[in-house]
Amino acid sequence: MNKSRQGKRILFGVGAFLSLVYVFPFVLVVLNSFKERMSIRADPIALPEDWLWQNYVEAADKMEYFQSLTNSVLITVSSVIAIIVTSSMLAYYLARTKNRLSSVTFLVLVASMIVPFQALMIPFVGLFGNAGLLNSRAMLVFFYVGFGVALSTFLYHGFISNIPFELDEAASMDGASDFMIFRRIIFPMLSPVTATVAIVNGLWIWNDFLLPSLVLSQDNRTLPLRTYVFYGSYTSDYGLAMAGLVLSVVPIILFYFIMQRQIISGVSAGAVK
Amino acid sequence: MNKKWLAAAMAAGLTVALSACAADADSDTSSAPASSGDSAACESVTEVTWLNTIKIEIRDQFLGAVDEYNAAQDCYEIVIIDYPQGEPFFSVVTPLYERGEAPVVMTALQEVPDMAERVMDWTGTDLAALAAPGSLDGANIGGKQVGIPVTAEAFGLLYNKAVLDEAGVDPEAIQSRADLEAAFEAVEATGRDALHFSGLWWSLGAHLTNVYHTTAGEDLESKLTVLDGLADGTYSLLDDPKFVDWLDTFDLLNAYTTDSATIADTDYDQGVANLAAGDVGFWFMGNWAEPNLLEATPDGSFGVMPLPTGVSAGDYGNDSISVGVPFYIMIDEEQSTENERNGAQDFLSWMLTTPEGQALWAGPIEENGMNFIPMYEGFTVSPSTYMSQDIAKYIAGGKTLEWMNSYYPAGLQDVYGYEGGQPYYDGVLDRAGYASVLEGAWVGAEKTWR
Amino acid sequence: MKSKLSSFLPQTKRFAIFALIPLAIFGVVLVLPFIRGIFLTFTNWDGFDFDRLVGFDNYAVAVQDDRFWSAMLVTFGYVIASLIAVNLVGFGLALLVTAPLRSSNVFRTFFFIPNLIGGVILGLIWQFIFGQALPTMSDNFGLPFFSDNWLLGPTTAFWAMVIVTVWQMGGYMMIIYITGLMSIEKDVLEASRIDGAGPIRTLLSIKIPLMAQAFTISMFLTIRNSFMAYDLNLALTGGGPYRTTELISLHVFKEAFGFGNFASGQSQAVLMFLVIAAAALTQVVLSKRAEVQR
Repeated sequence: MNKSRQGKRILFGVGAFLSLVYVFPFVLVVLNSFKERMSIRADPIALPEDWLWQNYVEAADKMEYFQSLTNSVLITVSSVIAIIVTSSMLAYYLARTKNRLSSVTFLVLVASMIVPFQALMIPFVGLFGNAGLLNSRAMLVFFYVGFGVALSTFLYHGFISNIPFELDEAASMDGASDFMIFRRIIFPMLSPVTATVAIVNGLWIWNDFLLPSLVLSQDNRTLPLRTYVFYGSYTSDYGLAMAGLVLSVVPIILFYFIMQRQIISGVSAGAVK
Repeated sequence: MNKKWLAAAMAAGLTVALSACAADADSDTSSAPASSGDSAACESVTEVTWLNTIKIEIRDQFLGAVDEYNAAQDCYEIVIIDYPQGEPFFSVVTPLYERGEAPVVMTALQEVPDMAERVMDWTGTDLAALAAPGSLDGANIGGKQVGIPVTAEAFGLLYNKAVLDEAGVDPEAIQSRADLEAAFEAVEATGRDALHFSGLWWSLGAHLTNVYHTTAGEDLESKLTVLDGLADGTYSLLDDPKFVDWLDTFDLLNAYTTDSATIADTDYDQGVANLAAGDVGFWFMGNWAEPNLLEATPDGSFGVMPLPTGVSAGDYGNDSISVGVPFYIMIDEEQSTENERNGAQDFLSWMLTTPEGQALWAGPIEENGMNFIPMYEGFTVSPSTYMSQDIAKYIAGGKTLEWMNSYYPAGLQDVYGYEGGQPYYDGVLDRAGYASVLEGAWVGAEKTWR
Repeated sequence: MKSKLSSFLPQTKRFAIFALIPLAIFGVVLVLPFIRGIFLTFTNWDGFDFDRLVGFDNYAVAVQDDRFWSAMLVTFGYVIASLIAVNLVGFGLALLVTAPLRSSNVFRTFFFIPNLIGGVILGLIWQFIFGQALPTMSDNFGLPFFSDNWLLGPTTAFWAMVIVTVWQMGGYMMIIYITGLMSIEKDVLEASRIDGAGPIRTLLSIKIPLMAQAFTISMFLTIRNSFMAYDLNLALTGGGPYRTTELISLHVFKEAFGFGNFASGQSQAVLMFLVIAAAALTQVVLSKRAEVQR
């Protein structure tokens, strides 16, 4: 019994130490966000002398915080919903239709997951730019669906394949249309995967930098783009920059604490194909 | 309808009288370009987009000037388009053009030749006529005046006057590399490091290399001939005695620099801190650092002096500082309307020819000015800081060298800095390697200076 | 079996409802630019327009570019280092968190949070840590390990990137491994315990083999994410010092936008895609084979 308790203590110690290592960058950034520029340079690990809350006010103003936060939320939520709807439906079709075309389509979708964005970034801008379509948040959502549908369909497909076809057949015998079967029977059963799809896509869209930088105009900018405002080519205002970083990170961390259970189960479900 | 034509006629008359706007003859729609200050002539406000704020150091001041201009008249509204400052020019501009949102006004230097076909020709405009002689050359591409200068900047060895006084060093007495070394020794004798030699990629890649290129010949044509040779792949740097002199100077700077100078992007802040606090005597940098130095040490005096690469006192270039135009202002012609172009020029006229504008353009930082050195005739305001007076002295005495780095093709200074200068600075590359990187950077370059 | 004709109409209708829109969006947004991109690599495109076909010239230029190969080399090194480090750490953390401790959930939170942060912000945070915080801490505590800014030396900057990658991705892989560990039936573990197998033996002979699927997914994700790393690379090292940590994504971006070589940059992007495809395919095939054997 003693051994097990000792073992537990050791494990706890290791865990605590690693947690500290994991968290210390955040701690430092938060501490320094209250300092003024020259003091950060002088001693970056000291506690702040004065707690300059105005750094946050100034940073929020300079990065147009509430506006970019709203943009990020709008775009992320809309994109995630759109991806869930389209991918689940496409996956249902591909999983239930066993023909050459659907196998090839599935293969193409999977293959597209390894196409790096850089390979199509410039032609993408050229094609859509000439059509005058690179200018709104709605179009950005449209693009995210295009880029996100492959992985999400893949995740749904595996899950749907494990749902016995007999369920579909039984419902069909009862007179339900394809769409009804999907909506009433299949989709509710997909909750675990939907959680995964929501988390995985939500995270990368929220944090995405490159695509919004190419598509969005001034007033529509998202949070990651705005954080660069403090980094000049010659010199940076570190106090403001740290405050800006904290402001960028707080929303997603809050969201995590609220939705922790769903997020973890979502990621777990993705690990079981 | 009558009123509209009357207003337009009044505006036209005022325009001729004040000659502050560049109005094109085939004006199409309602609002004729009003001269600055005349708010009666425009029916609607034309938005004029301006990419970034020239330099991030004077961002707040520039935004303030834009606000003041926008409030002072009703015809045009200058709107700033922000992009991360570190991004390459084309990564920002190309997508904008592709989506049909090209900014009306852009500022750049090395990209000027690449933009030549898309932007307006300033030849014959009033502002171009007021520009200081020689300042337009860098943006004259095949006869087309692609941009007008923002300011003149100078770089060389910045010095902390108090430190030099304490060490008994007189900048004007430094005429050769040997004198410079003696000066470094004198500063070290006071218990400090002699200088801060930045490893910043753009400092090594653009400014330091310019000191070689601008002393490679004794007139512009011979310097350009060297560039010709490099572009042709026929020029051997190590065979050029001026290049060897320059390399020896590089080594000298490396030998006396403080340990806290590195290749990090944050080295600029460190340099400001070191020189402002008097922890070093010299810093190879440009006059754009002056506001930062004064912010750190408000009652300090910081000047600039040449970087002598030649061994003997009379060697060409030993007594001159590199002065050049860091940015040219270009106006897009491909996607902008005439109104927008007029608006851009109206704003610039306000900035460069009216007292309020000039005060903001060339006035001191404490008074919300941008501290630019005026390049246009008729400026009543001139910078009053210690360094700008130093610079004025050199300019008046004709002791200036061209910025050959403005002829570098886009991307070359990156190679010069990242792949050549920084490894050499850290001792990871030897002379032969460095020379070969520099020569290699020019292969296939288009001779935009011809 | 229904005849083909009588199932045609319902089939088309089903396609139209479920698959048409998603596939259309996918085609327009991803497939079209990709194909156009490949087409452009055979022209003399300058970023704005082109006027003639040039065959394989761009690829010839791309392949002869030393920088391209050094970027590929660095990327390969980074991918391999990340693959090993991220999965080792992720698995280790999973073992730690699934041990019967009361504070497991708290630990899990700490380890997972970095994964929520985007690459750009991550890079900026760690730039500060390596550049200012760690050197100061090193000096204060007398440990010279971090006293130089790690981002300024080629080797140390490389490992700095790996460290931050582990910090970011480790938590996510941890969750995947936790799931794998949890999915092992209790009876199997009971049986092995009764047989007298110690913890290490259990780990090696029972747990790991039964978690093969988790390993496959984890490794695939690590490989894919590391190959395409851009945000972190840009924000943390910017490719420095002297372009020695310039990964392939950043290299392609700089080639096109920094130097204006759009056509050859695009060609390099296509080559990059081929390499990633080959690597990912190899990994999945090998892993699948390992899985099946179990």
